[in-house]
Amino acid sequence: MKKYELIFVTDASLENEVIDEVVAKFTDLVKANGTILEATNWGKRKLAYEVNKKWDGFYTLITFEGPADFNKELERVLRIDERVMKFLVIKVDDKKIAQAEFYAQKRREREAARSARFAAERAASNQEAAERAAAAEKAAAEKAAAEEAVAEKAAAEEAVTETTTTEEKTETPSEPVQETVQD
Amino acid sequence: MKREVRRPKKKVCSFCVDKTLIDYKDANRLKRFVTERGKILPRRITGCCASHQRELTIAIKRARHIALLPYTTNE
Repeated sequence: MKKYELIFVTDASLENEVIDEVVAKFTDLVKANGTILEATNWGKRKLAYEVNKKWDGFYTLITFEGPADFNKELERVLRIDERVMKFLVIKVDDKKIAQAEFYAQKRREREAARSARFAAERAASNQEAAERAAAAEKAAAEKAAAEEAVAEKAAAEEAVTETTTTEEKTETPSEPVQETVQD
Repeated sequence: MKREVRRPKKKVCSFCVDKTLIDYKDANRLKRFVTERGKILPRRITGCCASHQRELTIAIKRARHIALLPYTTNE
C-alpha cells in the first residue's frame, strides 16, 4: 500500500449535478480499491491555457492509499471519461512532507519567540521612554518655574529702582523661559 | 595582462533556506520561477541549488500538465 495523490479537472461548463456525479464516481472508485485519506474540491478555476476550447475547470484533489496496480486501472477509467479534461496521479513522498512540516513548525516557533521578545523589548523601552519623558517634563517645569520666579523678582527689583526701563527689562528675561519650555 | 571580471553576488537557494516543500499545486509560488512567457528560469537566475532546481522543474512541469501554469503565452 502506497500513498498517492490524484488530481483531476472536470469540465466546468457542465451542470453542477454532472460535476458532482463525476467527482462522486471517482471518489467511489478510489474508495472501492483503497482508502481515501483526504479529499478536497478546489472548485471552479480558470485554466492556464485552453483545453478542448474551454477555459474553466473544476479541480478535485484526492489523497489515497492503494495497491500499486490500481493506478493503471484508475488512469484508464479517467482517460475514458470525456467529462474529465485533465488528470494526474503521483506518488506522495511522505518523508519530504514530514520534513517540510517539521521545519515549518520550527520556523513558526522561532517567529513566535522572536515576536514575543520584540513585544517585551518594545514594552520595556516604551516604559523607559515614558519615565524619561515624565522626568524631563518635571525638570523642565521646575526649571521654568524657578526662572519665572527669578525673572519676576528681577523685574520687581528693577521696577522699584528704575520705573522708566521696566518694559524693556521684563522682555529680556522672559526669553530663556520660553526656550526651556520648548525643550 | 589582467582582465576585470565582474562577479555577481552569490545567491543562496531559497528552498534550502526555507526548507519548504516544492509543491506543484502551489502555482502562485511557482510563478516566480518562470518567465512572463512561461519558460522555466535557469539556475543562474533563480539561484537554486542543483537538487532543488531539479525538483522545481518537475513541479513546474506537473503544474503545466494540469493547467495550473501555462506552457506558453501568446500576448
